Amino acid sequence: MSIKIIKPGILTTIQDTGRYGHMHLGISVSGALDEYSYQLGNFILNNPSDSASIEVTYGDFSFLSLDVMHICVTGAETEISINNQPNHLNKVITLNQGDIFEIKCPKKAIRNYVCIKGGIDSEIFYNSRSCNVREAIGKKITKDQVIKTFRVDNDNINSIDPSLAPKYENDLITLRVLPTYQFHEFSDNDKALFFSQVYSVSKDFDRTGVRLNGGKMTDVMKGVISEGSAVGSIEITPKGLPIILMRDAPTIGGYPKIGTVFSLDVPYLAQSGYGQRIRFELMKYVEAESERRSFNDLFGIEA
Amino acid sequence: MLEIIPAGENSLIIYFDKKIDSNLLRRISYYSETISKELNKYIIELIPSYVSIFISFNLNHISQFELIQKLERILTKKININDDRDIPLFEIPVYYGVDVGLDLKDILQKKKMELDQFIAIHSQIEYEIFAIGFAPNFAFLGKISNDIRVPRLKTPRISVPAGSVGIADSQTGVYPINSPGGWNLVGKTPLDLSISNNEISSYLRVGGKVRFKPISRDEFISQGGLL
Repeated sequence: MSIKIIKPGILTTIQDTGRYGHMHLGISVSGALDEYSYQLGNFILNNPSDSASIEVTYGDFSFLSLDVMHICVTGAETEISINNQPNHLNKVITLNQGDIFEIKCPKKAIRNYVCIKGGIDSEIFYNSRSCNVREAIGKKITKDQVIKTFRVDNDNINSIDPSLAPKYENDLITLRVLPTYQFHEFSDNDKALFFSQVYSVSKDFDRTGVRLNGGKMTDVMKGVISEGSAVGSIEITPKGLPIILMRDAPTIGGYPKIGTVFSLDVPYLAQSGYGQRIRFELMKYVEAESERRSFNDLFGIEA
Repeated sequence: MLEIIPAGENSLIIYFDKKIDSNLLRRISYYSETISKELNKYIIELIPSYVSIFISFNLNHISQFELIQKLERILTKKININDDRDIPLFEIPVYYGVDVGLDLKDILQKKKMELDQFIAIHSQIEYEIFAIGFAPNFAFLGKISNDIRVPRLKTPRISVPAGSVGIADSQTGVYPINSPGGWNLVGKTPLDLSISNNEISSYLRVGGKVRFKPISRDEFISQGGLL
């Protein structure tokens, strides 16, 4: 089964749960940036939790369905349509051969996931189908590209409680932060500033990292000896401003880090575009561990 | 000094010291192997780098607290690192020429040095891999001789061709894929060092050794090098 891309949009890539176990070679984890919406779509379709899906950034995306198939679109609040007939996010949609599916530019949040029953059948590289443009692993999806999907012989789907779908905010979001890395080496003033002010997303944000604008810290240490970086870790540049590392980020880095955004809050950052206002609050490890475990349980995630 | 500090709800980092040193590198390499082996079922990623080891783990099977206890047991055991351990030596052929080493001319001028001298100095040392990162398969090699050290470029290049050999301060390395880069370019290897080449990942590990073998322009081209 397959689809043919009509409008590829500005940044559309194939992503799955990520490329694990190769960071020691400098290979980033990659994978769907908004893990929540990605998992939700595959859950609704009763797909395995690591099924490859299409990550669409800023909409403006359409394709022609070359077979009968079931899809589910999750993520940013936007208009979607089949042959120009409006349809809905977070539910199973059946496409017939010749149907044209379209996603408009989102109103709230920026990324959508087009999950397809059976998952996408594309080339596996180091155990994953995820594209990482920076690492020259895979390529952005282009016009006329044909994408194959696995044939499935069951129609099982899951219905969800609508309240399970993540809610994205256009105004202010709060990201929970664990005190990690050099947290204790930052001055009290800088920490107070970090946890009290409202930052905003600068024009530099992509799958590798998100740079924030705001009041500058004044007492930042010069740098640290390059060390392994966690997804969500918050680097503070010599100018005193944060860069939050996303899934395509280099695996090691030498800026001091004040903390790490909790993995289940990273999706909300991933859905933030230019100007999104962000504040941070400290989180306890026990809460993070138990919330993450419940999420893994809910979606049947192995790790 | 030995510190284990959280890096996220499912990751942590072990700091061994604050100073980069070859002996420390051997310890880090030893512990990376031991931890990978003994705690294999819990560990997802393990990144050794200069003075630290980053670990991410499977929260479904172990908590941060329990993993730290297990790590402490491994890290506090007395160890005897045998220097004769089988450390792989990886030889990388390099064509040192101004047509591929775009910064060679400047460096030779600054150091008042002939190209032959530069080549002899850069290729005589068995370098150690201190870290791998920046790009897949990019190995940070050290330390280069004081005689040829130069700071990184003030303005990084937007695109450095794959295979380019660079130097910056005490380090040298090869760009495995086309990428932006701020190191001074001194030559190019015809080898494919990208992750598409499965044969090299066994050599590329922190603590491993690398030597550059000078080759001529003709050899570079006959081995598939692109000018």
